Amino acid sequence: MADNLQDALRDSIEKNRPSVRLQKHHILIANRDGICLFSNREKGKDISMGALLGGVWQASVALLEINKFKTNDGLKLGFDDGENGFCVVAIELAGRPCYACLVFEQEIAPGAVRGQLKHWCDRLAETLENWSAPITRSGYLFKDVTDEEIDRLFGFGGSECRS
Amino acid sequence: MSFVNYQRKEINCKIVYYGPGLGGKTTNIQHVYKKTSGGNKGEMITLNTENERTLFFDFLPLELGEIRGFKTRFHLYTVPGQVFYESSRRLILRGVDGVVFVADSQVEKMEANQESLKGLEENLIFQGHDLEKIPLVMQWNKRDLPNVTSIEDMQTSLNKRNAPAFEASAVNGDGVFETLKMVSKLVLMNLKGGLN
Repeated sequence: MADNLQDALRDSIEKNRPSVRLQKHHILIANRDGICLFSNREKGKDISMGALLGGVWQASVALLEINKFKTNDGLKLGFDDGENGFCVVAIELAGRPCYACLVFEQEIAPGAVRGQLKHWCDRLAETLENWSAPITRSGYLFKDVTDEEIDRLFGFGGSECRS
Repeated sequence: MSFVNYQRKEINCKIVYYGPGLGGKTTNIQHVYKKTSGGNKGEMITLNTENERTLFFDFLPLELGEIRGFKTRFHLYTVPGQVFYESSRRLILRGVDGVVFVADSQVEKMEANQESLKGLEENLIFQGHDLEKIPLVMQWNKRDLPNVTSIEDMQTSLNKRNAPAFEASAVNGDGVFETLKMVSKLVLMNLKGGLN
């Protein structure tokens, strides 16, 4: 059994592959803070995309809250020119709010792929509904961290990065 | 936000640079971006206004080395400093693991520093953080300018918690890494979830 949500999600996706049409595009699933949990493309862009999507999603939710709009669970977000752009749907994974983003290019029916994304996410959410981390961890990961360890962490940038 | 994957041995943490407008928050992470080598940094994202002030946030993912076998990645954010972007600042503090408060040392900026610090405290409380527990580092920036408040007065006025504090001139790179290293250390020592 996966030890953490990232691996549990990966296992779930192995069993619930996205449709061929979705797989043509970049799928990214991130948690509420923008940490990438899954991506079907090269790793390079995912961190920045997660941060931007976190910002976009949270700003959008804040816009609704400022206006005191009543919403149900099916929030979605889209930005496209009719065939290129992205869409985001909310997804709850093991009780944690996350979102899935599809970045599409030359897609003739963005509404249809968004529907497919939502449907796929609902399936993933269902499979992970009862998942919880098998190990309960308490205390701190590192009780103490020495200056030497921090120096080693920052040892990439020449003398300026070191104490 | 800290996200620890024990199987892959990866740590992700969020550090936010907070402070008054034009205090040097963006300059801090620009310097980090400039000084880090290709493999260690991702793309720096800046969401700016027309006149190059921060509109929403700057973001720099920084892949550091390993600590006790864990690959460490810090996500550095700045908030927009201008007063009317309060709601954006509040959003960016969500899930924060550590804060650098970048104070402008110029005498005439003391009031703006105090106002910003008060906002930080209110926003952290709003996001459910315990002010006594969140790792915080103070940076007295712009020490290279002529008309600056003394360090003692900066301490008295802005650092009642007695958080670690560093003098800096971010535009010249002075104090930037000292500040970042200290907040990184505090954040790592604050990560919950032991190995057993």
